[in-house]
Amino acid sequence: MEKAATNRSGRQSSLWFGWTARDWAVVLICGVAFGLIYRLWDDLYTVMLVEWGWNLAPTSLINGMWFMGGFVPAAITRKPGACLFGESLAALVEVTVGPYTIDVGDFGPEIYRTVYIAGQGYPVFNMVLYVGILEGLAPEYVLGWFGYRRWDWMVWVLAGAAGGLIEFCTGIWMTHYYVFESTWTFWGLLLTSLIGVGLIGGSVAWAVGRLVWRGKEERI
Amino acid sequence: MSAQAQNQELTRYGLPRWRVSDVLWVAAIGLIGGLLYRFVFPAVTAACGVGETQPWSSLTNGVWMLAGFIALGITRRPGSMIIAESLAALLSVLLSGQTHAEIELAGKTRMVLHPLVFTGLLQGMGGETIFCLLRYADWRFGVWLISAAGCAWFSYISGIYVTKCYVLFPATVQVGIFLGTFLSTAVLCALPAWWLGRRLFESSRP
Repeated sequence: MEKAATNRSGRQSSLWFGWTARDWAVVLICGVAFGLIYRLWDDLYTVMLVEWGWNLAPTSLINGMWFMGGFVPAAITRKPGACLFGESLAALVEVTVGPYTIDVGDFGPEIYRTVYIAGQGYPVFNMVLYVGILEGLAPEYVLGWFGYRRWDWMVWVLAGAAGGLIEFCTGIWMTHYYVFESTWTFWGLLLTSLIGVGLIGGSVAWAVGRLVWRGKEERI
Repeated sequence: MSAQAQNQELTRYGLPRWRVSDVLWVAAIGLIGGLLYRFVFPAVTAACGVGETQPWSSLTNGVWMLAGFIALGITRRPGSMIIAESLAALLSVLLSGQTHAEIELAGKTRMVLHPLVFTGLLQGMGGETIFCLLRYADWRFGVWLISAAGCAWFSYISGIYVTKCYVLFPATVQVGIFLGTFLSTAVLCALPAWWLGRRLFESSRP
C-alpha cells in the first residue's frame, strides 16, 4: 500500500487514489469494450446522419452513449479517476482499433489525421482521442466536487450535463461539427446534448451504479 | 480567524467549503488576469523578443496560466482554477475587440466565439485535474508540478486543435513547445501558487 499523505485537516489521499486490482480490471475491461462499441457506433451514427439524413439535434438525444466508457466504470468502481481513465481508454481504442468499414470522416479508426491550414496539410493525432479525454474529464470534475461520495441520481445528471456541455464545446471549437448555418439546430443541439447526456446518460449510469451497489452504500 | 482554521472548514463531502471571500478572491483574480492577458502580457512576451512563430516562445507561455494557478493557490477551493482561468480568458477576449473568429467549413466561412475562451477553460481543467482526483487534500509541491504538466499538456492540445497555431511545427519542435510550456508554467505559476498557499494555509509552522 502506498504511503498516504495527510494534510493538516486530517484528510487522506493516497498515490493510487485508493484503486484496487478489481477497479483496474473493471476500468480496463469497460474501456476496451466500450471503445469497440464506439467504433461500431461511429458507423451507425454516420449512417443515421448521412444516409438516413437525420437532423443532428434530435439525434443527439442518444449522445449519452458516447459517455458510457467512462460512466459505467465510474458507477461500478466509484473511485477517483475511473471516469476519466475509462473514457480516455475507450477513445484510444476507438481511434486505433477496428476495420475502416465506411467513410465516417474524422471518426475513422486512424491514429493520425490531416489538418489543413492555408491549403497545406499537417499530421496531428486524431482529435477524437482528445474529445474523449475531455468528455471523461468534465463528468469527473462533477463527481470529484461531491468528493466521490455522492452517487445519487442528481449528481449523475449533473455529471452528464457537464459532459454534454463539454461535448458541445468540443463540437464548436475542436471538431467544428456543431457549427451550422441554422441557429435552431445549433441551440437545439445544446438542449438535446444536455438532455441526452445529462438526463438519459446520467440516469443509465446511476442505474448501473445502483444495481452494483444496492445494499452496500455507505451513509455519509 | 486563523488561516489554519479556515483550511479546516469542510463540506460533508470532505472538500474545502467556499466562502464569500473565496468567491471575491477568484472573481478579482479572474478580472485582473483578464486585464493582464489583454494589456500587459502580450507586450511582455513581445518585449522578451519571442513571437508566435518561434518554438522557444513557449518559454513565456506560463504567463497565460497565472490567473488560474494564483486563484487556486490563494483559495484552495474546488473549481477556483477553472473559474478564474475561464473568466480571465473570456475577459481578455471581450476586451480585445475581436470577440469572434472565422471558421472555414465546406468552403463557407462561419463565425464562432473566439476559441481562446475555450483554451482558457481547457487550461483550467488540465491544471485542476490532479487536485480533483486527490480530493483537494494534497497541496505539496509535487502535486503542483503534476498540475503544471496537466495545464501545459492541455495548453499544447489547445494549440494543436483549438487555435491550431502549433500544427505548423514539426513533431520534435512540438515536443519542445510542450516541455517549454511545462517549464515556464512550473516556474512562473506552480511555484508562486505553492508558496502562496503554504504561507496562507500552513503558516502556523515556525
